[in-house]
Amino acid sequence: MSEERSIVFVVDDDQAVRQSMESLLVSLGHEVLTFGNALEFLGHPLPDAPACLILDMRLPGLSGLDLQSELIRAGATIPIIFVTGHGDLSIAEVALKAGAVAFLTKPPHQQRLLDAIEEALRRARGGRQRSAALKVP
Amino acid sequence: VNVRHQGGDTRGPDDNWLGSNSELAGLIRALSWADTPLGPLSEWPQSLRATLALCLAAPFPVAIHWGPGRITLYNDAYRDVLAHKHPWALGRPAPEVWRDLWDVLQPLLDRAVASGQGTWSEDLPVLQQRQGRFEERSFCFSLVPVGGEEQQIGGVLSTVTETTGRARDERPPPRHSEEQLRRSEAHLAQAQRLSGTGSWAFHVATKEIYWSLEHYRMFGIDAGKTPTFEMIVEQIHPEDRQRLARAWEYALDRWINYALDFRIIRPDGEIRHIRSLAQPVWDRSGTLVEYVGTVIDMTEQVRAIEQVRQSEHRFRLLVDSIPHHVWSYRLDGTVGFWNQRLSQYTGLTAAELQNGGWDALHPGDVERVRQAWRRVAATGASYEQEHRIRGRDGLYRRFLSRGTPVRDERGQVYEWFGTDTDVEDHRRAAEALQQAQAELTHVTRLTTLGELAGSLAHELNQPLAAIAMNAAAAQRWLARDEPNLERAREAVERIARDADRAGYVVAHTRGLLQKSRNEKAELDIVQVVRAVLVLIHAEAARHEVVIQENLEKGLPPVLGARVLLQQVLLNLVVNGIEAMTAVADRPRALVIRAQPHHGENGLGVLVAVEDAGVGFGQQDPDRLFDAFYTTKPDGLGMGLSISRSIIEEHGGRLWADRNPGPGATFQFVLPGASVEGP
Repeated sequence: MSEERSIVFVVDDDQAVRQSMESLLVSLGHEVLTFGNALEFLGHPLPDAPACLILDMRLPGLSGLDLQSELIRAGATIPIIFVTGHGDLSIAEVALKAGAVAFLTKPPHQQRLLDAIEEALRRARGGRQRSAALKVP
Repeated sequence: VNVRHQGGDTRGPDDNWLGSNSELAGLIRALSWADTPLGPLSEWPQSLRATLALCLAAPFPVAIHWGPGRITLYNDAYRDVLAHKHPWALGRPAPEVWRDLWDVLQPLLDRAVASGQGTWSEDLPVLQQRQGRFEERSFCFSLVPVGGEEQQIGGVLSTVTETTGRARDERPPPRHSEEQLRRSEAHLAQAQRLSGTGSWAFHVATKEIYWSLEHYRMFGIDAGKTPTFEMIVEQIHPEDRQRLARAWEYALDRWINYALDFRIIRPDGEIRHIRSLAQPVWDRSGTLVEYVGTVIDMTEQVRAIEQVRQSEHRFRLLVDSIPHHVWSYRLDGTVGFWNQRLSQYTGLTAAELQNGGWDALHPGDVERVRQAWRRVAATGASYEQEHRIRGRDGLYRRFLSRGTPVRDERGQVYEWFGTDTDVEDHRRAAEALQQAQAELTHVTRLTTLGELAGSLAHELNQPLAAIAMNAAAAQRWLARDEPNLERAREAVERIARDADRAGYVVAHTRGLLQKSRNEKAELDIVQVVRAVLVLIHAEAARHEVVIQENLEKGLPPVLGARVLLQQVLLNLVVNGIEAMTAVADRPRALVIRAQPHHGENGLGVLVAVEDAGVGFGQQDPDRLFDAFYTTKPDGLGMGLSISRSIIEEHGGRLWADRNPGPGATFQFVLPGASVEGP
């Protein structure tokens, strides 16, 4: 099958985390774009390709949760994987109810992170196929 | 000798020898002699009877002083010599009758009795009172001993000759006698004016009243006006009139002296306080002629006394209205005065309070308060102690007791004036606050620890996450069909960098924790002890433990971490207090000593905490310092173990000993700051 090009966005204020995440995801064949805060990410146009977002919870300015609700309000359907240093159950519950794919604590278990990314991209493709089917009957 | 007149005619069959044609014979017959040293008239010895008969028959003044008591008997002619002392003198001892001449008469009488020979006196001046005026007359006393029974001297026969005229004749005749009289009257008036004393006389028969000039002046009446009884009554303060009238009536009935205080209202409206002294005057026949007396203006004295009384009253009011106990404590351990609040609060009796009121003091405070007073008494310093006083309801409250020394004119302290202030509510509030603060500090510390752990986790999480992902990336780059060594190397480099960062975080945090605790500086160990005592004060009071400090001065400084050493001391003191919670049969005393210690490395300090608690039985004292060893159900047993390691880290030693008496002593030594460490 011809694997469609996919994009993984990373928003984290820690440069070391961004770099290591990028290196790992690139080694897996993903195209990766990283941002230090939420506003930087919002200023970037979303691609037409299947994409997902790996989002830190604690960020300068808008928090991870704020960004999630902002995206929902804007109608963006990009799947979100939360990766955070604070494993707070109540926040995880809010995030998951709002449609997050996964809520992982740092340092993330490698396989769970990869599984979550696979799941997120599958959802992204499915969403795009459903909308394409509606568009082109 | 109390001789009373008997009523009625008591002439017995046995007293014909007295005769009946003189006044004195009648008076002698009427006296109840049985009450006197002479005994009943019927039993008088023949010698006395004969002498008395002779005396009564004599036409000139003769008296007898009979027996060892020198009891006085006399004839009618002698009445003139006695003047106002008649008839009082009859049956009285000669020393009483001739009190004013006794210095002269006694040796003469004694000589006459001793030698059995007659003797006489020179002119003796006798001051007599006649009709309110005193006059001086001179007499020559001729004394002859009279034999009594069994050849003893029974008494002395005293024949008196008046020498007044002769004595006067011998003096140069007075010249300008009228001028002299005027001058003496002027002197008298001046003396009365200066002394604020007026004089008066009241003639009984004519009701005439005589006032001296000063009397007029004092009563504010014109000197020309003749004083009348009605005028005097009018001037007397209405509130005093009835009392005065009764007193006058009483005195006039009995012919006695009187002294009366009363107020007058002068014509100008001014009220004056007067003291009036008076005495009756008899004539030769024994009838009351007049009253003479003085009036003294006491207004200034009365006002001064009133002012003192008012000032005393105001002081009382003030002292009683102060919302504290007020007292004075004397050097002899008695309480000089106390206010109502103190007696009402304690319910102690005046006697109990006077003795120091120790009964109301809490038994646990008595020794400390006694010691404090001993110190203060020795130095004359101010007193300040806090102690518990039992109220009449049986409950104790804490009082802050303060006294200021009072010095006499030589600068010696003899008394303290002081107050007790009820600080119970204040102290309770402070303790509650301290408790709350302690809890808050504990909570804060936990919170801080939690936050520290949280931020530590976060700080470490980032590099750990990066390391994990870089490692995974490196594996992936190497596991490719065409391994990308460059990318793998970059990932491994980042791993090294992130590991360094994690290590830095850990090192920094540890430094942060250790910095404040372990920094050593030169310390005065006494200050460290004092700081701990301040912290522990409330806890000790709550457990009714008396802490006695015995901290020597001039100890060498030690090199140490203040907080750590305070922790050690706090630990030892708390242990000591807790060891005594079950003690009820002896004082819960904790002694803290700090003294120089001569160790192997030179001069250091020794600090000992000595309790009177349960001790540690047969247990090996050194086991106490094992980690996790504890006798307390809620203890971790870390305290003594950590304390020992802190002291050893300071180059010192910490150990425990059994006391000779009850309890244990925990002590440590520390090297002086100038001593080289181990």
